[in-house]
Amino acid sequence: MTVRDLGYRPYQGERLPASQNTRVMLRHALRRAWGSWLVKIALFLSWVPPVVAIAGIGIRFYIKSQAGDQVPPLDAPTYVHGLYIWQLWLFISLITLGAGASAIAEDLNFKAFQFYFAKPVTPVQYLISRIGAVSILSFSILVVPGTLLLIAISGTIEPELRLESVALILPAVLHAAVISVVLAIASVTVSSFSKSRAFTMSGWILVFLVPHVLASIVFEVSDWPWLRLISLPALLEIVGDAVFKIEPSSDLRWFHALPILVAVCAGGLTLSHRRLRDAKVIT
Amino acid sequence: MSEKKKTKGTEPSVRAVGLSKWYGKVTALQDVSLHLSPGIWGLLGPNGSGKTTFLRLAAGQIKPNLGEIQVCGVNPFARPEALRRIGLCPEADAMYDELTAHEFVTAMARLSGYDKSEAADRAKDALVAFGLKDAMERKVGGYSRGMRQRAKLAQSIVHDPDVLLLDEPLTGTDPTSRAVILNQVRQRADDGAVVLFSTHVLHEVEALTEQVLLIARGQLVAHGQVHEIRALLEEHPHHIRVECEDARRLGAQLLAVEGVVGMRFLNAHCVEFETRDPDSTYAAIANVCVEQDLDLSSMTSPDATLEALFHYLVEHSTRGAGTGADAAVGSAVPSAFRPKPDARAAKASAKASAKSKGANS
Repeated sequence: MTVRDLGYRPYQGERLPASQNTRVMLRHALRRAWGSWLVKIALFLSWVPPVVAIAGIGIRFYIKSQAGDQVPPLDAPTYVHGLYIWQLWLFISLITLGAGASAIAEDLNFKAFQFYFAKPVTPVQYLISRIGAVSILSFSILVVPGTLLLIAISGTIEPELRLESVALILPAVLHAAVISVVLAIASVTVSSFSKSRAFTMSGWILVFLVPHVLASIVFEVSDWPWLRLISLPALLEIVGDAVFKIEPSSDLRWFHALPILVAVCAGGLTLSHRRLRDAKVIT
Repeated sequence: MSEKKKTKGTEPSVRAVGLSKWYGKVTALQDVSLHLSPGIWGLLGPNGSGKTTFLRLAAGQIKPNLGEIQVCGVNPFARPEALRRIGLCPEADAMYDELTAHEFVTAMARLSGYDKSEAADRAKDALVAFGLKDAMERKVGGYSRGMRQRAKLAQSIVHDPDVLLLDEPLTGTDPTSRAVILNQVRQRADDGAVVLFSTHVLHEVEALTEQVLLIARGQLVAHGQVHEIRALLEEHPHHIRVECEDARRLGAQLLAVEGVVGMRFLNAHCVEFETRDPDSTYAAIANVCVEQDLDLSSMTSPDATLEALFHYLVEHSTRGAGTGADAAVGSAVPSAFRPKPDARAAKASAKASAKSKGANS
C-alpha cells in the first residue's frame, strides 16, 4: 500500500511562492479562531446592539412621522462611535480573549511550530497570520454594523444631509481598523508570554480591564484624566473622538493617545517576534 | 534516478561540517561532521544524545552555533527553496486535536506551495498510503497514538521531499502500522531520497538499513554498518545482576567460569557479574544455583539497551590515548577521511581482549 500503487504521479504544476504562505496561514488561523466558543458567541451576539439601534431609529422615525412631527436629524458620528464602544467592550473583548490571547500559547502547547517552521514559513508570516485573523474578525463586527447603522440613520434624515452621513463610512472604517489592529497586536503579544492558555488569557483580562477600571475610578473621583492613558480602551476612545470629530470628554486629545498606541503596537510586535524566535528553539 | 529527481538540480544530500549546538550551558551537539547520500540512514543514540537537535538543524528549525549544515547543497535555515525539499516528522506527539487528519495534512501541503485542490489530493494520497483512509475525516483528538504518528508521517511526505527526517517514527505504533511505515520509508529511499531515521532501538534500524550513525552525548561516536554495531555489542562486557540468598557463595563458584571478568557485591544478597560470554554465564548461574541449592530471587541485565554500548564507546574513545579520540567523538574532518569504523571496532576488540586476558590471569 504505497502512494504510487494508488495512482501517484509526480507533480508537474507550479509550486506557489513561499510568500503565499502568509495567506495560507491566515486562512488556517481564521479556521482555528472559529474553533473558539468565545469567538462564536461574540460573532453571533455582535448583531444584537446594531439591530437594537437600527430598530430604535426606525421606530422613532415611524412614530414621529405618524404624528406628523418634524424628525430631528440624529447625530450619526456619536451613534457610530457609541456603537463601536459597545462592540469593543461586549464582543471584541471576547474575540481578543478567545482568538488573540490564546493564539501563540495554544500553538506552543500543541507544539505546532515544529510543523509550521519545517515548511517555508517565517516567524513574521506566522505572526501576521495570527494578528490578521483576530483583526479581521474584530474589524468585521465593527465595520459591518457601523455601516448598516449609518445607512439606517441616512434613511431618516433630509436628502441633502444624506451624503454627509454616508461620507462617515470612511472614518468608521478607519477607526474600526485602528481598534482591530491595536487590540489584535496587544492580545497576541500577551499570548506569546507562556504556553499556558489560562495564564495568557488571564493576563489579557488584566491588561484590558485593570488599567481602565483604575483610570475610570481616578477620573470619577478627582477629575484627573491623565491616568486614562494607561487604558487601551480609553486610548482608542480618545482617538475615536478625533476620527469622528466628537467633542472629547476630557482634556486628552488624539495626539496624546496616538503615540502611545503606536508604541504599544511596535513594542508588541517586537516582543512577540522575539518570543516567537526564542520559543521555536524550545519546542 | 527518477525523472522527478533529474529536474530538481542538486542531488539530495545532507552534509555537516564541525556542527555544534548548545542551549545555554548545555551542549546538545558537538563538532559533528558527516555526509549522507541518498538511501536510508539510521541515527542511533540514547535519549538526550542530540538526535533531535541534529534533525532540527537539518530541518532548518534552529541555527548551529558553530559549523555548517547543508541540505541538498543549501543551508536550510530560513531558506524556502531548501525547506520545500525537506520533510520532517517530529518526535513530539502533538497535533491540533480539533482538526481532522485530512485538514491538517492539507494545510501542511498548502504551506509547501500546492494549490487548494492539489494539496487536498496529495493529503488524501499520503493519508491513504499510511493506512488512514477510513479515519482521515475524523478529528485527530480521537486518534490512537499510532494513528497520530501515521498522520504526522503523512504530513512529512505530502510534498514529496528529497530529504526525509524522521524523529523516532515508530514510537507507539503496532506491528501493522510499523510495516506500513517501513514500506513507505523504503519507497522514499528507492525514489532517490535521503532518509534519516532516528531511534534508540537497534532492531528498528536493522529492519530498514545497514547504514547507521551512532550519536552519544552530542558527539558522533561511530559511523558504519549495523553488523559492526552488533559485533561491538557482543564484545562489550555484559552485566548480569543476580539476587539470591547467598551472593558470596554464588560469586565464589562463578569465578572459575570462562568469560566472567569481574564481579561486584551490591549487598549480601545481590551480586553483579561482568562477562564477555553472557550465554554461558547465564547457564553457569543456573547450574550453580541448582548444585548449591541456592534460592534465586531474580536475574536481570542492567545494560540490555544500547545505552550501555554508547557509554562503552564514548568511554573507550576518550580513553584511547591519542588514537581514536578525535575520530570517535566526531571532528571537523568529514567522515570519509576518518579511520574506518571497522578499524576502530577491531582496535576496540583487540584492546578489550587484552584486558580480558589480564583480568583472567
